Amino acid sequence: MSKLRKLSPLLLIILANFLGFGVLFFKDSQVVMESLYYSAALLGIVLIAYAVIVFFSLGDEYLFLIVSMLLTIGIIMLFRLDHALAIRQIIAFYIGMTGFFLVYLIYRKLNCWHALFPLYAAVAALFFIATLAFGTSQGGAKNWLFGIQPSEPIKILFILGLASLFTAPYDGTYEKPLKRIDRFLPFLSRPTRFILRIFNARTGRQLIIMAYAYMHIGFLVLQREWGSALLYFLVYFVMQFVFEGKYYFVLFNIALATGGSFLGYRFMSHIQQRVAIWRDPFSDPSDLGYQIVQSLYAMSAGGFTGSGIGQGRPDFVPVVTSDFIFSAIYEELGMLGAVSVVLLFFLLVYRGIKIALMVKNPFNKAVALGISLVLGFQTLIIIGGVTKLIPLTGITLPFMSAGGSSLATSFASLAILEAISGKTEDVTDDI
Amino acid sequence: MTFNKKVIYVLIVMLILFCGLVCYFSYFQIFISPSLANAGANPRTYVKEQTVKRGSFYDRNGECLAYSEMKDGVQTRVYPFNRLYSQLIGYSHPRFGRTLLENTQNAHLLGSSEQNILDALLYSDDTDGDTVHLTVDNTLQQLAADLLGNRKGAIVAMEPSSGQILAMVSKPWFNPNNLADDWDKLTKEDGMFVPRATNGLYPPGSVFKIITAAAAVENMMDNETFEDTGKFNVGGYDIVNYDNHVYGTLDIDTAFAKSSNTYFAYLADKLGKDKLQRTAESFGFNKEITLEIPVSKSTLLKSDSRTNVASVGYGQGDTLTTPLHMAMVTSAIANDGVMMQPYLVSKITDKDGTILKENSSSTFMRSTSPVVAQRITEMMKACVTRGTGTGAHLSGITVAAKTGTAEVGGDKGDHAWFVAFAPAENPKIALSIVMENAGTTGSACAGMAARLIQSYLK
Repeated sequence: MSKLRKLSPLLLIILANFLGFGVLFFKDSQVVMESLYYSAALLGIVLIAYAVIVFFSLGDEYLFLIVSMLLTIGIIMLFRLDHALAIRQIIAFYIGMTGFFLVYLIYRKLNCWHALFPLYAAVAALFFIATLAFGTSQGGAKNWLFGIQPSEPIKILFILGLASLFTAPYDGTYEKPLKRIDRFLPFLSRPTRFILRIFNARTGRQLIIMAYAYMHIGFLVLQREWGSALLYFLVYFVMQFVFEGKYYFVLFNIALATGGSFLGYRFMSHIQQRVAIWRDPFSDPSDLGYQIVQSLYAMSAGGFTGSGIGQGRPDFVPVVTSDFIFSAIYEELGMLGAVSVVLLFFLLVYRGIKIALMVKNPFNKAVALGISLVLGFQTLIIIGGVTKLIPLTGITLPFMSAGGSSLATSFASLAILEAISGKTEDVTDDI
Repeated sequence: MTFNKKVIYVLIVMLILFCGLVCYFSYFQIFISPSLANAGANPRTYVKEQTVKRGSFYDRNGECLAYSEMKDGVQTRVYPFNRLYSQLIGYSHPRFGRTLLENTQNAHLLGSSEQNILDALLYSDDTDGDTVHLTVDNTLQQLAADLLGNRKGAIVAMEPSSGQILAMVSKPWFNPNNLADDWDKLTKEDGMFVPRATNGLYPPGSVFKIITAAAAVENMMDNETFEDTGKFNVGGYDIVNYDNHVYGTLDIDTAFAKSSNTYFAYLADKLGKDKLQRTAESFGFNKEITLEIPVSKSTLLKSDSRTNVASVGYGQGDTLTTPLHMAMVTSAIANDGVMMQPYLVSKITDKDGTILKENSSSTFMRSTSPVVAQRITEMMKACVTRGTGTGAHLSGITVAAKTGTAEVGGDKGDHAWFVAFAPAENPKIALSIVMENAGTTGSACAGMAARLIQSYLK
């Protein structure tokens, strides 16, 4: 009996897979053979990966199960919308899981992540500057560099950086690196020691972290990536609340954010436009408000239980295969389907936070928290945006939007989370 | 506080945020989605038209004004009266979208609005939309359109006691049966798709004196005599009568009947912005007017300069209003000072004739007291017997009316206005007429009003 209970999430995923592809097996009284193949391919990776995770006791298997369910639903919807995108997503799933296991191993084997702060900052800055210089725009935001979205992988570096900064001990001994600098780069000796003094002071540390965070946010604002800027800010803000006892830093950030957004609203027509369209998308339904209006129409057409997979017309919604995939789900799977997806995401966040609570190593606690926050806030921001709860921003729905950078980052984050959860010797039961 | 405790707080906040999202979905589902699901602009409703026969429009006497023909799964919308209802019912076309009543009544026309979940499940293959019955009288509408002739403008006729709209003609107009052929030509013409009756904003000119007079009576200034020299200077600006007439000694009744601008400018100046604005707003100015099709808001007195206030007094200045609104103002006077909510749709029936929904009259605003309304009625009667509106005189029917000639400025012709109601002692019809840039006085419309009243009361 308990074996069945353990297996039930997996059985549910299999059931969802069969039901979804089963419904799509017939189309206009014709048999769609791809339905079988895609179903099998999807099922294959889910079962194989799950077996590997369980057999090798890699860590928390629910993380993978939740993500598999999300991916199953997402791929079924993509299959319904565009076969080509569906197969790409399935392949991405395969590649993603390979990457997942790789990242898992790398993260677990190398224990130096907490010390690489300067690297994180440098790489991030490099990528951002490169994007500003050579990047291409899409939808108003200059955020593409040679086919990838740098703001996606930098998210992971950002979390690692924040985690290392917040959890670095204040009396940390930096003998070895300092000696190396004295020997090889003597001109950096004085500045390095100066920075270290700031670093080891409570306030100084906070200022350094603030600079680190706002550097990222600043770049994102320059690139007009409001959604990502908001996301990075929220993650930084919550982590600061958790790690720093002094409330005036938290308050200072609130003030800065409020002031910043107020100024942004006053002086940037782009933001004013977004807010105006959020308040009344029907004021310009054929141009600026078009995406939101079509999304709202799709949501309304579904009703509680949805029009049914393949029965609705999500194809009327623009960008429905990436940013607005949720609208398609809302239309065809109904409000119940939409709520289920939201709950799945929450479970993922909950799972991640539980790992953060249970793990002993402070750095890993911070990383786990950071990743959970990113997943949670990103989901809230994009779902809130496409449903007109908050103004629309151009970020993706993790694991469900068809998009390489987004998927890769999501799998990598998941792998790190899994790796952290797997260090069983680290886990404590006393919360 | 320990790390773990704070993290648990964070978890709780996340939970609240996610729950908030779910609550928003529920709110959306219950309150917002019904209207969006069947909105005229929702592309899915066009898909629905492939299986559901779009419902028809009827006038109050059962004449069919618009219907759909199904042939080989293709629906074509037919408008038997061609241009007559193009600015009221609008059109529904797969390529050009849906406008006016075809748009706002879309849910009824596709038969989906009155269904609850159970009906939807049981009768999901219901193939006929519902019928929308309008309050409009086709005979009156035809007559009004004929009388307006080739001019731009509008005629609105209402029943003062109920708010039902009996006729609403706007020109320029077009033939919705030939949209595809005429589209390029129509989009090039300025303002072709602006229905003048509800969305044409004009300075009212002298018909506004009804409101100024009402304000005067309400504030007990109706005994003012004024020595008219043909010119009234206020704020450095000279206000003159039409055609520079000099009327000599004027009381309010004569000034109203003869339509003296100087008298009413003087009156408005004496009343002051606040009192004038209060009365105007009780007659619906600066307020949203709801109707089954969009209505532009009438505005005035955005500027409080003395010159402007005086100008508003005789219907110029920054006053702008729609023909519908002036019909409503006239109806209010006719209806003992109570302005009824205008409406176009009387009931919705299904294909078998069962009434699904019936609309009834309701009060929009209590514009003024019956005493004041009666006083104004007397003034309007005098306008017909001894004033500028004698062209509307009918034997056997007491007509109350007011003419208006609104200056437009530049070298464009004045707008000619005419409002009337009859019979004065028990009003059955109130109407407003505007001829855009006609360059003639309102008196020219008097004859049109008389014909309409006569025809309707027959």
